[in-house]
Amino acid sequence: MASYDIHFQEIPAEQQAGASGRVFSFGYTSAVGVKGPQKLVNRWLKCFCTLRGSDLLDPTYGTGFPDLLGSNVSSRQDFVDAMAMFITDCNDKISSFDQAQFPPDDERLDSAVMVSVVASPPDGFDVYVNIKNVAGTTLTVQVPTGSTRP
Amino acid sequence: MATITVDAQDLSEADAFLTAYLAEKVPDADFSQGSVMRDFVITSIAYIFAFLEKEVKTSRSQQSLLTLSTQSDDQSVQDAVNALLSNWFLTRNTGTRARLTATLHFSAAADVAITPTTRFFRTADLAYVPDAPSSFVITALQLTPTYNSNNVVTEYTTTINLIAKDIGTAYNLPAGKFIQADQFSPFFTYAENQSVIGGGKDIESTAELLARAPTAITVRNLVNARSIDTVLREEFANIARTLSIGFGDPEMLRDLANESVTRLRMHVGGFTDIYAQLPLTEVVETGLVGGVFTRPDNVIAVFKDSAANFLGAPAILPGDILRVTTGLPDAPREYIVDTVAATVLTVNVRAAFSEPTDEAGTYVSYTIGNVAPNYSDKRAVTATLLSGGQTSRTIQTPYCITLSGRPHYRIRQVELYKTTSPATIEVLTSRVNNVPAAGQYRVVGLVPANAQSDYAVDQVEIDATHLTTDPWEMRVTYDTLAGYEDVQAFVVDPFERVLASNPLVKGYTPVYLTISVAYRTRIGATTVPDNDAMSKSLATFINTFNLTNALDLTAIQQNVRDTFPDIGVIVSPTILAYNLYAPDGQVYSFSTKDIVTVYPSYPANNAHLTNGTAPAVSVIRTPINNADLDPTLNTTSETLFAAANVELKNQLTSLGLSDRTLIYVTTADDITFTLVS
Repeated sequence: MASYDIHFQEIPAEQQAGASGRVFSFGYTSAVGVKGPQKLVNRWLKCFCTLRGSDLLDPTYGTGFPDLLGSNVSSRQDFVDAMAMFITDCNDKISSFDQAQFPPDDERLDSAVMVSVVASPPDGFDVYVNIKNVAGTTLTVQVPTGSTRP
Repeated sequence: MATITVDAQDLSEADAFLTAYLAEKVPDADFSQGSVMRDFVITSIAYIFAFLEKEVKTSRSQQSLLTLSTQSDDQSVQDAVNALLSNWFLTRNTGTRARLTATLHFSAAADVAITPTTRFFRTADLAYVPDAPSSFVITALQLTPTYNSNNVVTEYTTTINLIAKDIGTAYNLPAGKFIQADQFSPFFTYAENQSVIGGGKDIESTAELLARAPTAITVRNLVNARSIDTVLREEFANIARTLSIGFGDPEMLRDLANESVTRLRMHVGGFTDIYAQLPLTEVVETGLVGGVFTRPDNVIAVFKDSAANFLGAPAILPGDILRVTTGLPDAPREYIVDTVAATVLTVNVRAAFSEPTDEAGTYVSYTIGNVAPNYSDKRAVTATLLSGGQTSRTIQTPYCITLSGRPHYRIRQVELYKTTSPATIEVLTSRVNNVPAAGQYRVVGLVPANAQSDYAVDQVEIDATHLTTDPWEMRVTYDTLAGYEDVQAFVVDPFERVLASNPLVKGYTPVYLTISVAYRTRIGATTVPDNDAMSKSLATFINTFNLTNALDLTAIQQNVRDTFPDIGVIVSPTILAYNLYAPDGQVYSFSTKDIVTVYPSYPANNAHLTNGTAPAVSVIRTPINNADLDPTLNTTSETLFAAANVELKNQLTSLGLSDRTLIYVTTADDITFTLVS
């Protein structure tokens, strides 16, 4: 039986500076339950944006992506290569959870693929990832790379 | 305060518990791994929850002495045990300081003043100070000269009692030389301790405290064995064990009403003997041979009249009645005569005089006889300002000195010198049970019921060739119990004492062991065992032996083998002899081939008394035929042996002795190891 997870969403880039640098928000005055493909996206995005080694209970959880935020990457290709590696790491972790817990098809990861990397002046990139569940539904997610920090 | 450490296992358990708990409470929520709910609701507080859970567990575990006893003795456990036991007003013993007797050497005879802060260093870190409350002076006359082969004085020595600067077993050291001392005399050359330094104890461990705790839940008065043990061991950290003897116990002698005239003999109760095991220390006493000493028990039992001749016709006899008609507050009053000498009588100590008139310089009128109501058929003396009878708490015995009231364990040395020539010293080396001959001495315990206590009336007697008209001083060096006076003062303190009891702290009756072991090293041994180290190790084993078990030769030999594995064969026979220093001053010497006991019982054990028969003159105890005492002799039948040992047991019982009132002690000097090829 599918069960609800708590929903969170990205704070629009232009509002992040006014949100003390936070990237995500619950977004509502009360918690919102979510299931299905969006729940999968949330799980994937949370794992992707968690710095690996920061989870007390599971040091292998997360990726190296948070370290990339605000860093000096001069080559676009380097950035793309790093993102591809982090996406693969995240996929592996979510898949391992899925194999252990076997969630419903629409919440189980089939694939997550980087579909585009667009330069975001003056010094950022917007990254889009297609997340597809086993049921065949695909959602495109913009990875919250954030704006330049003051 | 316990240090709470949260590890991965604690976190994992906290996470699992919270997940299970919330999954049950909110069945629609997804708490699976990797879910947002799991991370935001559970993982985020898992560490805090784990910390609190660990603290709860720690606090819970520290509420039980049973649980605490299984934990390592760290600071938090010590704090918890202290806190719990403080609920019964039981505190951790703070340890004791080691004590020793040091010999000080001087290059010249001169008065020496020593302050209690003078330090004597055995090592650079371990210092000892005089065991004295205030400064004291050792006069030049008290220094003993040492002569070389040419009869020239080479140095002077004296002994003083030292106590460690701090508590701890680190201060328990073997015999040796001090490396340094604070300046206190220009003639001081060095100090040494010729016997082992002992008695130092560390702060009580949690295990030791918990072992003591069961007796803590009791009334905190000195009213029964449990409470006495608790209170005294709480108050005095140097007490290793106690034994309380009271009404109805076979060892109780002090409450015996033993009337020589009426033959009445019954226990009247009201007395408590408290045996306390305390560390040994060495003391030196000096007294004028045949001089006047105050009875340590303060009993005013002496009646004297320098103008009288109590032995003349009609002779005064034990059992006669002395009637004091004037001169005492409770006069007229009658007293039963116990012993008779020419000018001195003693009366029964249980009904002694109320005041010592000799100290006030007054005289009493008296009559002596056996015809009521005036008892004047033998003597009738009217006192004047300058004559008559006098009551006294002093004691004066020819050829004797009376030792101070305290436990008197083994006498190490008796020295004699004339007051006019103190440099010429005669050392008496042989302690005997009968009247001493030249070079001998004996100890007479006049009140066996008070032996090894504050009230012990023990005299050291020498041979009659040392005329008391030519004054001799006697210097006696003996073992006593360190800190005994404090314990006795505590139990008779007006605030602490039990109002309906007459308590007396005693030392256990000592049995000193002497052991001689011959051994061969094992085949392949690369080193030869150190004989001195083995002696010290074995002495420690015996002195700390749990006396609820029987000490025997096998255990001793096994201990030696276990401690020193290079020993191969212990060559028979191992000589194990021991001396019981009885309350009446007599020495009972034993030998054994198995169990150490003062109650030989063949074939149950092979112990036997070796000095049963004493010369026919002036023996205190009933002789037991030596030939009847050794079951291995062909001349002895088992029947005679059994009868002899019944007599022995009766003698010891009549002195208030039993297995539980004895203590087996030895020193490294009493243990000899010999390597044979």
